[in-house]
Amino acid sequence: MADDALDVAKRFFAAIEKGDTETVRSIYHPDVVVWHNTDNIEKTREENLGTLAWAIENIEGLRYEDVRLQRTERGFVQQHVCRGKKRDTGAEMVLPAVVVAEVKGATITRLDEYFDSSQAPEGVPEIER
Amino acid sequence: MKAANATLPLEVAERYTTAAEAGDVAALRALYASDAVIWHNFDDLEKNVDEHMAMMSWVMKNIRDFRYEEVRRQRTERGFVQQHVTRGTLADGTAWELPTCAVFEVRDGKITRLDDYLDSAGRPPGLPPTRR
Repeated sequence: MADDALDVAKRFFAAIEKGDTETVRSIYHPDVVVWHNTDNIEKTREENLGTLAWAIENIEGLRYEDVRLQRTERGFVQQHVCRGKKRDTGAEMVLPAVVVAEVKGATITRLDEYFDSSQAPEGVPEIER
Repeated sequence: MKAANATLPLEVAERYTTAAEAGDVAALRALYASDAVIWHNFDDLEKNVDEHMAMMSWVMKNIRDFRYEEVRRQRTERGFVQQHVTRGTLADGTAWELPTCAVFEVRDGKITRLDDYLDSAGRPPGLPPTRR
């Protein structure tokens, strides 16, 4: 059971790196709440998948590096550096972030993500500018 | 996770919050291992305890009623993770709040590493940089 949360984390981030939004959707519980520190809004699965689609379309070579993944009482915490290149400007993205997720069975029921808005790519929908 | 020290990191977490809210820099410092590393996402610098304490001292001196609210704390494999909203009142009287996620590594009851994630846009105005 405890190992499941780490498996969920690995499948989740691998799916994002592949641009596989259907797998991401299937890992999210239908009632998942997705929250970001930069706008402090609790969003639905479809709203978050919209953001993800934006990232896949606009960031080339989206990947997670320097990954530190740990089990928590309610799921997992992953620290990483999200990297890629903005397709339109060629700007390199280097975005350290932490994801705290609650996991039930094989699904994510809540995801909180923290990062610095000044390091995020221009145009990402999660930021109030 | 071994049952014997299962609660220890959470006790450290509790003492950390209490010391920070009380503005007790000495008590806060005592929770860190002498060679602890403190890192923040917004400047990507690995700082030592003295550098971190200088920042905390500034915060305690310049922000009234400094406190952690909406605390969600969980044990991890190497310590604990705490999500919270830091709140207080700035010198000009305006209310300040900043959602933060702190990932702590704890060994033998001491904090050996802290990785702190926040949006630099919400940092209190006037906070000096650690290194110029």
